[in-house]
Amino acid sequence: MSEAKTGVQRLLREGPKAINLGLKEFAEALAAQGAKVVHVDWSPPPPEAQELADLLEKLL
Amino acid sequence: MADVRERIEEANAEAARRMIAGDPVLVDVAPAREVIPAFQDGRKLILHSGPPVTWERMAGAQKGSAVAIALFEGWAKTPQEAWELLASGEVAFAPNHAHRAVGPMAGTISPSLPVFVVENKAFGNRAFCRPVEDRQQFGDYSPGAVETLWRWRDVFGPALRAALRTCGGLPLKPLIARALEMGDELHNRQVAASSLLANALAIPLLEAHLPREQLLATLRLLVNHPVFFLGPAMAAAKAIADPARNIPYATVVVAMARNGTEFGIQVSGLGDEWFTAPAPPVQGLLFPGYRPEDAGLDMGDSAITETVGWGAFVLGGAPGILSLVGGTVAQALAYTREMREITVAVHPEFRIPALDFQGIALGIDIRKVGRTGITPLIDTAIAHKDPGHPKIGAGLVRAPFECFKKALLRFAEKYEVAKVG
Amino acid sequence: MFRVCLVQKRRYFDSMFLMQVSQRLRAEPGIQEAAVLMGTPANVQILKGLGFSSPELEGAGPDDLVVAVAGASEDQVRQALAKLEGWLQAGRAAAEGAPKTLVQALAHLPEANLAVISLPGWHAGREAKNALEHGLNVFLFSSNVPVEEEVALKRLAQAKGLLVMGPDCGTALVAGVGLGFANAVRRGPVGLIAASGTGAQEFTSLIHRAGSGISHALGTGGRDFSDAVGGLTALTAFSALVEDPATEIIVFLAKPPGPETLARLAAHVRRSPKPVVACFLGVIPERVRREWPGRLTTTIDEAVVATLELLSLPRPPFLSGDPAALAALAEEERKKLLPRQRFVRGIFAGGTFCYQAQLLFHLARVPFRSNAPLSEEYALLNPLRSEGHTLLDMGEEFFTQGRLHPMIDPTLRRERILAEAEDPEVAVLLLDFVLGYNASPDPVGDLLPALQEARERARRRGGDLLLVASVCGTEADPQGFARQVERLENAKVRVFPTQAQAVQFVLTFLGRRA
Repeated sequence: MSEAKTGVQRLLREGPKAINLGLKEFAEALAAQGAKVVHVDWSPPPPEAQELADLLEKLL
Repeated sequence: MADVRERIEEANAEAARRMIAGDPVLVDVAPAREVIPAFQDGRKLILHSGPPVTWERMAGAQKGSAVAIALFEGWAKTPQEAWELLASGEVAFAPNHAHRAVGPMAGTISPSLPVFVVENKAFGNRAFCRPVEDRQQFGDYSPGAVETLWRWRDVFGPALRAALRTCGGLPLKPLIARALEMGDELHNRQVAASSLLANALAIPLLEAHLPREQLLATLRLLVNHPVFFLGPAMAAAKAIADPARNIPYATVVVAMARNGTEFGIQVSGLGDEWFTAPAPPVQGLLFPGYRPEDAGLDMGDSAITETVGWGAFVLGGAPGILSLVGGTVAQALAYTREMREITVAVHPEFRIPALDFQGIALGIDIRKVGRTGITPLIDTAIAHKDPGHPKIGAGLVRAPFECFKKALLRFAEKYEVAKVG
Repeated sequence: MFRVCLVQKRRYFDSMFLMQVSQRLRAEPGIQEAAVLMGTPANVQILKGLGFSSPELEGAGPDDLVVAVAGASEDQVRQALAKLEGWLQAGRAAAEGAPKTLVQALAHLPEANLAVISLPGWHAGREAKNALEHGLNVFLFSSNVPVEEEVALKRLAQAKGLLVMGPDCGTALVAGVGLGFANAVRRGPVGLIAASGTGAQEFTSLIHRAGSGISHALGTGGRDFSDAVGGLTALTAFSALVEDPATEIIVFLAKPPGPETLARLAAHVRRSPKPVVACFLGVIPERVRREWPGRLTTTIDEAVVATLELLSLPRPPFLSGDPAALAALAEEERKKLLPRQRFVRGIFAGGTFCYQAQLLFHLARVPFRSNAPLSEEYALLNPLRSEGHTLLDMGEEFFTQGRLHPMIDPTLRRERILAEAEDPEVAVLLLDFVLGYNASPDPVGDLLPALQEARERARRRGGDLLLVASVCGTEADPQGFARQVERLENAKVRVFPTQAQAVQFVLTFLGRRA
């Protein structure tokens, strides 16, 4: 079997090892299927950061 | 022409390289007038923490501290006289950072006050920090508070100077590395570092042939003062951060400082300009007898320790501090991981056992703060909002986002990065 | 009545958690109405519609938590609110020490290869970009991501050799693991690239029930095959499946692609070393028929049949409909109804099921109305009022604003079933039941009481109601296919093995079999 050359091929070869942002149930369903998953306790960035988004697009 | 992003990345890598290469050595404890040129013309000048501030806008604790300084220097005989003198405009004020100095809390430095002198042997620059105590720097101007400064001027300062001359200076990098591994974060918790410093200076003090009373008093101070090392630590941090200043395009923060009225940051690629916001309140624990409404706002140059990656940035390695500032070990580790998201480099020599000996993260990038909304976390002490009180508590504070936003907008202007389009 | 409407700035919880919390609040003594939700413009409108108002509500933004409670007395409302904070904090306490950002999560799982993102649309794009920059493939469940952002994400992914499934991607199966709404399907030789979530669920479930299996089912998001996006994900997925040793046949499932996208896909398919089946759901233009180099089908059932043929597998009995038997069954049902009972009302949870039903009605030349119409001529004026034959997509934005998808929250479908039962001209209710991960734990049980009540109402008028359903899923699904079907059949619901067959039966009943 050839080596996985790209990130997509790695995903298909290894199966999902996931980081979950949003609905917690999605992480639970993945865990129930035996997949590795880490759920992120996400919160929105402050509105000020959202204002700077355009500028940061150019800098980062 | 290279993409602005590439230039920034290169500049930030250089800033981080310089901070990591920093090699601070404690070389002297000297009266400020000997080492800070601004004091040499004999005028009445008080250096203070944070960005520039006028007497009118100055926080209560900083005013109280200045009153104590006027009494200490003999510029006034009573607190009332001192207050009138300071309000008259006869005494000049300037920020420590403009004079390669830093000071904890009110941060006041005057000509006769001893300062720790730290030389960064990698770059040849020097930085200064005043000693740490728990009264005058919090705004207390009682006779006892002023007495401590006199003791520093007449007893401790000269003794430490003699000891350092005997041993030819004390390299701080190895001491700091060990203290970080021993559970210090080098801002609020200096237990290990202070002990290591006492160990290192004990024999030089004995060899300095000091009068017995002076020797004993100085040793007593050294061995009984759990945050003694904050002074050398802040001077070391300042000495480490200064060579990273003025690198074109660098978006790394080189100073974070507060005066109890405003919080300010300085950014490598943006010269000496301060980007300020109102000083935030500190979240923490107050000593018994004080209420939240007594607390002053965030104050002090001590965030220079977070600027170089210590303090709250390594909270995860210093769980002992939680009894002072509150929170759980899991939170402390989470804070430390969180700070990795806004920094540009990892120090190969300063490492944290609790994080599997990962290096500490340093070099706060204003872009990453802007992108994530995560602002630097700072360990700090709490002063009273009014003049005349000692330390009243300790806690944690977040740098205001507004400082970083203003800096980003100035960066865009200075380096002609179109805001939209 | 005492009403309270509070806004907490920058406090985020996911919609599923908030629905559970709202339900608990409503169960508190004296509470008549309770909603805990994020302050999106749509949600704020809903609360105003319920009679809530406050200056704070006016200033609420999409990242703010809004709590609206109405109860018999101030005391009862205050007591309920006091409990609420405990529930909210319990939700967070479980997460203490949990990573707060993608980067922190990567420290916990350095070998991660995928980010699953179901955040609100206005944050989803940024997090997806962040994930790509950290070398992760992305499953982007969120909708409301602008098409320009979608293209930018997919270009970035292309440059990095990564896959972006979505935005608005409901379903995927990667190496046997279901993402989003997916069924428990065995692994096998069929690789699927699907623009539609429920379409992928139906196709993969039918392949499973036919005895074969799925190597991977990769979602693209609904817009990927349009010329605005140009099939960026479909092409990446296609190349990956061509390389993938487990995949023997590749199937596309989407609405007919835009002309440029079609040409691009066709060029790749022509060079493909593996056989390709396309299921272009919709009225397939002549140019598509001319240009497409592989097998071409228009319904999911046809795609399944074509795939099985390529695998040289026998067509299972459930895919071989018997028109005569259907006609007899229809005739039998006809007799139970009154002459004025003429109309069909389709109340679908799956968008593709609504779409496929419309397509079959259209091909049979039976006029109908829909809130998600196949073409403008079929548009339903008011989504709340059915006219003639009406085929409703209950997952369409009008119905899901401020609510969860009907595959999770059955409330609106239940209400609609009862509303249709009030119409004496209604003859048929056509329904879909979608099983699988993340769907309701008991989709049939959610609606069965309402269906029985609806039929009861029709009987009180002297007639009856013909209930027709299809169940999408497999025996391995958490809900169990056979158990769900059995409960429907026990309740005298006519259940068909595929959705297309259920629609064909309804058309037969109307005497208009395509």
